[in-house]
Amino acid sequence: MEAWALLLILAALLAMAGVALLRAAWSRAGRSPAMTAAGWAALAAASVAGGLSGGAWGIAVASLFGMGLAGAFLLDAARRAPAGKPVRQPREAGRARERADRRILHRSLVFLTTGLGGLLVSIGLGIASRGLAILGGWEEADANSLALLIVPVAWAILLTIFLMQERSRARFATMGAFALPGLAAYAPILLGWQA
Amino acid sequence: MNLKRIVKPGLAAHTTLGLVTAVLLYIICLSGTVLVLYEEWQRAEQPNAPEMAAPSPDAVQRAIETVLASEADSPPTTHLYVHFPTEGLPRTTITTDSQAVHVDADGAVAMPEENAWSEFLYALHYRLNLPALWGITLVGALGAAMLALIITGIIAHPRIFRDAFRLRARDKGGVGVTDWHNRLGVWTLPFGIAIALTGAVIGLATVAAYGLADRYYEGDVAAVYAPLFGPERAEDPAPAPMPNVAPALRYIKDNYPEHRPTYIIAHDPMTAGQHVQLIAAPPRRLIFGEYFLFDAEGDFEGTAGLSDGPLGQQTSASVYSLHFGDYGGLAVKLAYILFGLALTVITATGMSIWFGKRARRGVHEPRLRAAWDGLVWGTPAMLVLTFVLRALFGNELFLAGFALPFAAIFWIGLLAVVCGAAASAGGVRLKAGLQAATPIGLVAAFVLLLV
Repeated sequence: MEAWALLLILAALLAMAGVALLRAAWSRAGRSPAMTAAGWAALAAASVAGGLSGGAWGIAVASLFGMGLAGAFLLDAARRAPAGKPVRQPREAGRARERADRRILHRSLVFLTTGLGGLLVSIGLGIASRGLAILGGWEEADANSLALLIVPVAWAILLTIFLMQERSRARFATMGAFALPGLAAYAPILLGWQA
Repeated sequence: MNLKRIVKPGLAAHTTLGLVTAVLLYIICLSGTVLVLYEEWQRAEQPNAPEMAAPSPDAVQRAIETVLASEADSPPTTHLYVHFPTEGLPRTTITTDSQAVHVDADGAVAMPEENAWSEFLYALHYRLNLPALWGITLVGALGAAMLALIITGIIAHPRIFRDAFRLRARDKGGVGVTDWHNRLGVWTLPFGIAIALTGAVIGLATVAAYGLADRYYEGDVAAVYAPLFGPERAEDPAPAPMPNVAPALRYIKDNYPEHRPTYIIAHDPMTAGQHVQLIAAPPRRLIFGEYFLFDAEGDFEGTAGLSDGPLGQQTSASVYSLHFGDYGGLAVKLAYILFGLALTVITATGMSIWFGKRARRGVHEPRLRAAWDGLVWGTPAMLVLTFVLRALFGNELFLAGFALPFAAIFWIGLLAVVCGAAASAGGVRLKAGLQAATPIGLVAAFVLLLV
């Protein structure tokens, strides 16, 4: 058997061992830091072995084994789960309910209004990161690829921040702060230093 | 640090994001899961097309010449694509600007390609059947929202890893469905992040590239992609003989025996500016392939560097396979279907948790809940209905002389199901009917196609 295949098998086994160790650690009555650490270490080792086997391809394949075993454990847990008792929750007063509905409506409007702004700010961050990468001596392919990756990641993080902030002023301050790099990237053109 | 200070707003953000995006995210997750078998669906749509392991270089050249000769009286095609047999779709297919045909192992044209349903499914997942730029950007935005849902989900559940195997599946009062939502979420986390991130990168690349082009390339979007996938060449419309791809195929076979050719692209064929790109997939890599560049006579000129160029090129070339799961044969595809179903269930149960929580607090919304059920069960039912119609009436549907696209049938049908479910909430057993009809319809469609 070739070396890459052996390494891939090792990576798959380590990924499954990591999941099994974590399950054992988290199923105990008390905490077991050693077992938890061993589980995470096995998952890290699986990534290394997968990477040595076939780079990103090896890591991707090995992770499927870990997730697959976790799925099997979950199905087993579902099979063993005893029938539960109905849980009674207190009814909310009408006014409290209305407040909750208004909060959801408010946040939905925040999502819709800041969503587009967040995208523009994220594109600005992508543009700025590309400029910085080129200034830092990166190759053009690496810089462009980084920019294309930055845009969705930044947008997801901005959406998270906007929706977790309670006040509009804080949201606008956040948006303004994150918009600065994009504006800075356009500064040479705006100031006439560059065509 | 007081965890409550971030947990409560985290949960509120998670709920809001879920409520705003659930409908489209559910359709995207489900259609993406079905689309993992894109090649297999195409094969099922046209079971009598000629199949082969690999056509000979001379057969491919003959096929290209035949197809180009058949278009002598038409406007010249700008690109000619040859799809090579793969494990999932062992067929050779030639596509030009105006036609797509299957060819046999000798290079003779066998029949037109008929895969309208698979193309509909692809367009549904890729751009929700909307015009290209709007659709792909919206789907990319949903990918970013999914990423935000994952982040807020982790923030909102501080014990999510500690409770990763605690599944009270049969508990009532919303505990069971919440546990399923959280456990599936945590254990498909690497998959969910990979799918959301790659989907968002693919979907938002166009608008991001517009921004980069505007700032750094004087508005030339192609120049943004040139360092990643290679530059476009200058056109020269002067007439020229047919391109010869046979030497290119022999070159790959002799020099890269482990690489599997997946596509040949002849750019501006039969013009002086023509050139040939051969895409070949190396083994055990996430990249979709390497671009091998040849001139019109089939002489090797170089590679684009997707397999061994800068990391940025390799990363960009890996995004597609990581998203669509076509890097490890049928086994990886089956894993993607399983995890894709998990993502679909997470989306569906997210809404169920919200409805359940409100119902237990005394807010009953039977019509809204029935409409959601209509969407959850109506989406697979409509996909199956369009597939049954494809099996019954062929590649193109006509009603009173007008073409009926599958996209129109799917969206109008789904809207009718959702409205019908809301209108008959608590009355007609529409949900049970849809649940029963979907698998029956799927089996019936396969039987019809085989017969």
